[in-house]
Amino acid sequence: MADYRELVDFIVRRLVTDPDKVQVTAENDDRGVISIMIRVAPEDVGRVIGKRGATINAIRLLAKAGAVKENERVDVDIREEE
Amino acid sequence: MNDNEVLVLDVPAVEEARKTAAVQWGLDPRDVDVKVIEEEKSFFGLLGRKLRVEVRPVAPLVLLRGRNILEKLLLLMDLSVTPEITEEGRLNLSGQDAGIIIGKYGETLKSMEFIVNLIARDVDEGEKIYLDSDGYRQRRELSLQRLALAAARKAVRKGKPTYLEPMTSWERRIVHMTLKENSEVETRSVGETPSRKVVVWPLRSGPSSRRR
Repeated sequence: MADYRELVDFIVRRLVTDPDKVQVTAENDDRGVISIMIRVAPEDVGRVIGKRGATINAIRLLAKAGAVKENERVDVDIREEE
Repeated sequence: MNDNEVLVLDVPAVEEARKTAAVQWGLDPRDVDVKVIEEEKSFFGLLGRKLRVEVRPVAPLVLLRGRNILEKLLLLMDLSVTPEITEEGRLNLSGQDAGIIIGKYGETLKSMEFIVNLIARDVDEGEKIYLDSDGYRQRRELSLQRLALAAARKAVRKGKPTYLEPMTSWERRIVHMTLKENSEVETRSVGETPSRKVVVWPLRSGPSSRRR
């Protein structure tokens, strides 16, 4: 089985300037969707989202590709303010 | 290969040189070749022999790093696909889950390529890494050529510009190249990545008469 949380964590840690502030959590919501939430230092948020969302969208697509075989539903989001 | 991709080290054993170089380049020990260039009979007595070795990466650094990152990503995605460095300097993804890694219209492969480039080229400005999956690029190239020709026919027939779907720079280039010699149309890219797309203009009512 794919490990969505580890996958997102692995990518995000290599994109940010402050890997110590990276926190990635996984939760099953009531509709059966595995929801991955990314938290990073405020100055790294833009880096993870990317130009016009290109980076976060690419991360999302990779997580979804990992979910194809198990027929699971997974979504990835980033907490933008804290 | 670049000169700065050679390390000369003095070590007691080959394995140590392998590890040291791998750490320095951000690679695995398997990714480097070690050649002994000098063996010094010990003047240090108990310390035994000392070797002078040359260490080189077995392929361009950026490709080795890219391959290692891909292996890790594919493992976490639980996909049976193996990345390999090709003779053309690409990374080919091969295996029973290749279809999943290509995705609809190649969008998963594009995402993979995007992420790998972001990570692997972070440190040094190496050349861009291109991914392929068992001939996918060639198949895509053929279908883009057909798409380009169909768009040109439509633009001419309707006397109106035809807009294609958003594409990567590599895909847009194929469309431009396909229609370069076509005297009935002109092609341009409009918009910004990732929604940048090609417009095919019929030349009679084309941009020359409409240009601002």
